[in-house]
Amino acid sequence: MLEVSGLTKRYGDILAVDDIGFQLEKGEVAAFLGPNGAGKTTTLRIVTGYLPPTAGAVLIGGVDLRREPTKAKRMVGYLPEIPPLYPEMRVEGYLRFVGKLKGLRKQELEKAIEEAIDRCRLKDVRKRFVYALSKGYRQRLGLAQAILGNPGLLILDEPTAGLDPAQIVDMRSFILELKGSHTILLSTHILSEAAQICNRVLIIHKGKLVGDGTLEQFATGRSLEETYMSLVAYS
Amino acid sequence: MRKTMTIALKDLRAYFVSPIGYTVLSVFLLLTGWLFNGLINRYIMITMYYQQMGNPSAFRDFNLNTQILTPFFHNMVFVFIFIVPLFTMRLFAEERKMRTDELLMTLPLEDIHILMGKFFAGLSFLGIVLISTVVFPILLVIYGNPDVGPIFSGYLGVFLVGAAFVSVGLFASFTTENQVVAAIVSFVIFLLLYLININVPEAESSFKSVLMYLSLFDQMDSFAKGLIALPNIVYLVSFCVLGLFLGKIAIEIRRWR
Ligand SMILES: Nc1ncnc2c1ncn2[C@@H]1O[C@H](COP(=O)(O)OP(=O)(O)OP(=O)(O)O)[C@@H](O)[C@H]1O
Ligand SMILES: [Mg+2]
Repeated sequence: MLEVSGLTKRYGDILAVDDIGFQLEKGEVAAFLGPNGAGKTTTLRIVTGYLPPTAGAVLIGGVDLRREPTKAKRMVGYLPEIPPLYPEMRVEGYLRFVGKLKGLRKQELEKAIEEAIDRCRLKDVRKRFVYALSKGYRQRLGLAQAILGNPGLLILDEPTAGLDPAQIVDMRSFILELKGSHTILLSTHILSEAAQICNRVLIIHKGKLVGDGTLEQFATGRSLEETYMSLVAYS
Repeated sequence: MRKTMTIALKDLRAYFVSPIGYTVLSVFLLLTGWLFNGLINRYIMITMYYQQMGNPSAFRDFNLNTQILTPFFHNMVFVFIFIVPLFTMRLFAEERKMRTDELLMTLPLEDIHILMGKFFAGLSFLGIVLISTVVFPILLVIYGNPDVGPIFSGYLGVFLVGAAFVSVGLFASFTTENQVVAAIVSFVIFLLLYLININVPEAESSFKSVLMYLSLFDQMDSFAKGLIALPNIVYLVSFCVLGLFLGKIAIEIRRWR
């Protein structure tokens, strides 16, 4: 579903992402781990077509993101690090706006909106203005926007950041529901979360992919935490 | 087209949920109203002067159209220099500031959807601004008997020149995430285009005619006189296309650098 090869990103002198390559099969849920500034957000931005890579290629469902960006993007739902919301819109209006831009039509659109509102527990605030939402609700709306129209690949940048404990549990069970039918790549700083909901772990450090394996592979003998610490140890 | 319209509607609505739309609208009405008032006063004074002199031949080319409407349309275009940057600056710069460009650029959209959506939003707002000024010519029609044709052609001309301004303002908004910078960039471009006409008398005659032809502001002349001339329309539409083309390049640079 997602194939990344030789991905490199330079910001002037800073090498933010350094020759990263990995492949996610349909139904896989992968956790993207790494310390602050490791290059997670940068990688996810390239994979979603927001940033161009300095080098490397991204294939989504076999479609080259660079050659046919629109076709590739149709298969992706993306929750950026900062939820991309318009304060002056209402929750429902915002989802309708995004749905239309995803190419959804009338009934299909209304159904998708109801589904997203339901799944992200936004019913109580559906008529509210976005500027009046709390941080956690903004995060949920950002997620609702990403899953709208049921894209096959979800790219989530720290989806549980800023949520209350009940919401975090909710979000996790939500991702577990999608496991198997959707491909998900999510970044997180919470190792126990990765261990709980993901079957694949990617560890990035200083722009390099330093660890890639299934959860079982990582779990043999040592805990995920120990493995993580040994891989990203500050030298 | 649906996606283009979705973006256009969103941005048009955004003008009226924040104070920016109403502010620009009021300021434009205030300035044009003030200039219109000046034209009326001048007209009355000159009429009284001519009546005292008792010189009817002077009245031949002296009427509401030449004395008030033509300069009124020129005034409006002049006011665009200050007003258009104020409502085009936010079109894309704001998306970048609010990080919503990350949404627009990752949705299955073509550049042209974003570009034209934003352009139509700017045009629609321009249209609303112009419609609100119709009260001034209507006052003339109620209290006088101007030739009505030039009012329509004048508005067409003002709208087309305004569209050219909007295309430049939109381009400026694509180049930066700072709205103030976007406004200043478009303001400077408009000012340069305006200064071209003022400085022509110094230039040689052939060069002068080229400059006159290229001058955005002189495109208004024939429209204001009631003439809808094809060369002017072609010029203005080409100007818009050029502005949009620059905007497209600005998006592409953002996408692939
Ligand atoms: N627009 C930019 N210009 C210059 N450097 C940047 C830019 N964006 C990110 N960087 C740099 O690229 C590197 C990777 O940043 P990135 O945001 O991808 O990290 P991250 O893994 O998401 O970190 P965090 O866990 O804090 O979210 C950092 O060194 C950062 O300073
Ligand atoms: Mg990050």
